[in-house]
Amino acid sequence: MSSIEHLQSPDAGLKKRIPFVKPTGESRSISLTTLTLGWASILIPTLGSIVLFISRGLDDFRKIAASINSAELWFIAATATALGLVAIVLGLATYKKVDTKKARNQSITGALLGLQALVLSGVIFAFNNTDATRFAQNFLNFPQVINQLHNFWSGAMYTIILATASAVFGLALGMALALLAVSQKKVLRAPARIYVNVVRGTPLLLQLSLIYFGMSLGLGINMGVFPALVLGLSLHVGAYASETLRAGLQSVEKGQLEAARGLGLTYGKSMRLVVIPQGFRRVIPPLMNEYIGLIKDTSLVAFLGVSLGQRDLFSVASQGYAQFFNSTFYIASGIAYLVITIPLIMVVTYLERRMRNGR
Amino acid sequence: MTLNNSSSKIAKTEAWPNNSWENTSEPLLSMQGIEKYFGKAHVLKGIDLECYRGEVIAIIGPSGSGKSTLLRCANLLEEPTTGNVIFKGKDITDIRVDINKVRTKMGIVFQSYNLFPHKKVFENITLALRNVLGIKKADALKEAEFELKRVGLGEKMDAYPSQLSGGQQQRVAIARALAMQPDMLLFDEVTAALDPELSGEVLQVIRGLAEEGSTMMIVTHEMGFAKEVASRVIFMDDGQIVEQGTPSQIFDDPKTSRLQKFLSQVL
Ligand SMILES: Nc1ncnc2c1ncn2[C@@H]1O[C@H](COP(=O)(O)OP(=O)(O)O)[C@@H](O)[C@H]1O
Ligand SMILES: [Mg+2]
Repeated sequence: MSSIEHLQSPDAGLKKRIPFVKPTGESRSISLTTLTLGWASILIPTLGSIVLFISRGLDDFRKIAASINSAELWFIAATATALGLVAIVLGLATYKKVDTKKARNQSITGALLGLQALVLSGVIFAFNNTDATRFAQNFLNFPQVINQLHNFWSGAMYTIILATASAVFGLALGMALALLAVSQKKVLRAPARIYVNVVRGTPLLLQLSLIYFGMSLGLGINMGVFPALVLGLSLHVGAYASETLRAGLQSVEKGQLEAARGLGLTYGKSMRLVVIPQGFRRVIPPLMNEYIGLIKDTSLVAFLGVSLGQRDLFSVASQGYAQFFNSTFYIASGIAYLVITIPLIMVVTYLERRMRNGR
Repeated sequence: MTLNNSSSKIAKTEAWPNNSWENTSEPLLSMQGIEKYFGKAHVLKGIDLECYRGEVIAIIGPSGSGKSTLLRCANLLEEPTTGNVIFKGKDITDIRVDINKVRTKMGIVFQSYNLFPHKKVFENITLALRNVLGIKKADALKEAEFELKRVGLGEKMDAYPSQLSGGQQQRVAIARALAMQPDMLLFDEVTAALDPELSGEVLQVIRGLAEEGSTMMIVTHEMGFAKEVASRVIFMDDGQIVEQGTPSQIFDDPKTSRLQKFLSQVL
């Protein structure tokens, strides 16, 4: 409004400028304050809790329960709530008034951090208010888990080896199926289509069971646990990979194959040298996502009742739980899965961003 | 630029060495009774076309008249529904003929360049030399260098296609086709995607090839260029060859009303 008046009458505009500019300048420093408060409101409960829990000790669930129910934790949450509220109020009050984009972003970010601090404090209050002994005994009871750390290590290794071996064979199968799927000949496309749909339309656990038990009991083929699992997982992931690869191959411009054929390359060489390298590159991120999925899917082998020597990460956890009735084993395996998957997820995100920005 | 040099193109025919199989009076390429359907669409309606060594044939006509399809039928990138294509005395529509071998002798260049983006410029050229002709790496490299220099891009050996302008990419595509030492070249609107400045450098390369006596079939919408470089011009409309003749016959003295109408629209 004032800018219109300003245009219409320079004199009126000049008068209006003084009260208009003055609060803006103040608001700018308030924006910075808001941002600082927002960060404080989120960092105090996170760092504060960590320091509190570590200083009181993590080696006994009773100590952890005492920390959860402590007055200190209540005080930390209360402080965070107060700071968060102030950040929200200040942010809402200033973000429209400031005259630079940077200041507006500071106000908004500060308020949003404050909001997150409120949610976090709410969770802390909820735990702080209940008797945490049972919870800590079941979910934050580390000593037994730490005694079995070597099992988690070997379980993680088994999971990674199982997933990687299956991914390698699955990728080969997927590429073969994808090449059939992009064929001009229906008689080649049809079997690939049928296979992919059957695999996609049935549960993995059913597929694994059929292969694992069906091979030995039904067909009398004793191929050992690990090969049977790799076979089952490869057949499964191959179907999914083939869909991804097919999309990649089909995304390569038709002119590429034509140019290759026009130079006298056979269909096979054209695919191998021109189409596949381009199509494959484009679907590396989704293929990696399928690998991440495969890492998690290996947990299903726990339901096949595999022996002690061949325990994946999840089997280690569930057998630990069965032995001690301590759910902390599950928490630990969850953390172990994250340690494996988060770096892969970050690579996928990086590759996707790089591809989006060209190249 | 002028019409009088067009007749000299035909004269150059005699300069080509005789291959043992070849009777000079026989056309290098002969398309006989070519019909092409895409589903129900009747795109080529009986094309008879002969191309002799040293000839530069320009194919003109409205969009959708089947020019690209005709060119693609010549090297069987598109399979004619009926009709025969005789190349170097051999019926290449016979399914027992190794079409890949034939295609090494009949280079094609597309409107959209279709360079391989994951390969460097020199690799674009050596790919088929190595994997089709089985030429040794060092020799293929030498050949790539030679052809790139020929199209004025000797310094771009190690660039990726995406680092080149459209005109440069199209010249690489021409060099890629030339490196196979084809008996004839097919050009499909190779400058249609380029702005006038860049299309000039591509046309200059083709002009040079014409002067060297290369056999070419050029689909083009650049009438001035067709007039200047072609020894024969073919006007296509609605899947048929409506009129053909020397550039002066076609451009200065069009007989059919369809050609007259087309020329009035494009000139
Ligand atoms: N692969 C194809 N499938 C179906 N129709 C096609 C295909 N290629 C070309 N056509 C059709 O054939 C006709 C002639 O196309 P084209 O040869 O590209 O003409 P021009 O090159 O003269 O513009 C057009 O109507 C086009 O839509
Ligand atoms: Mg065309």
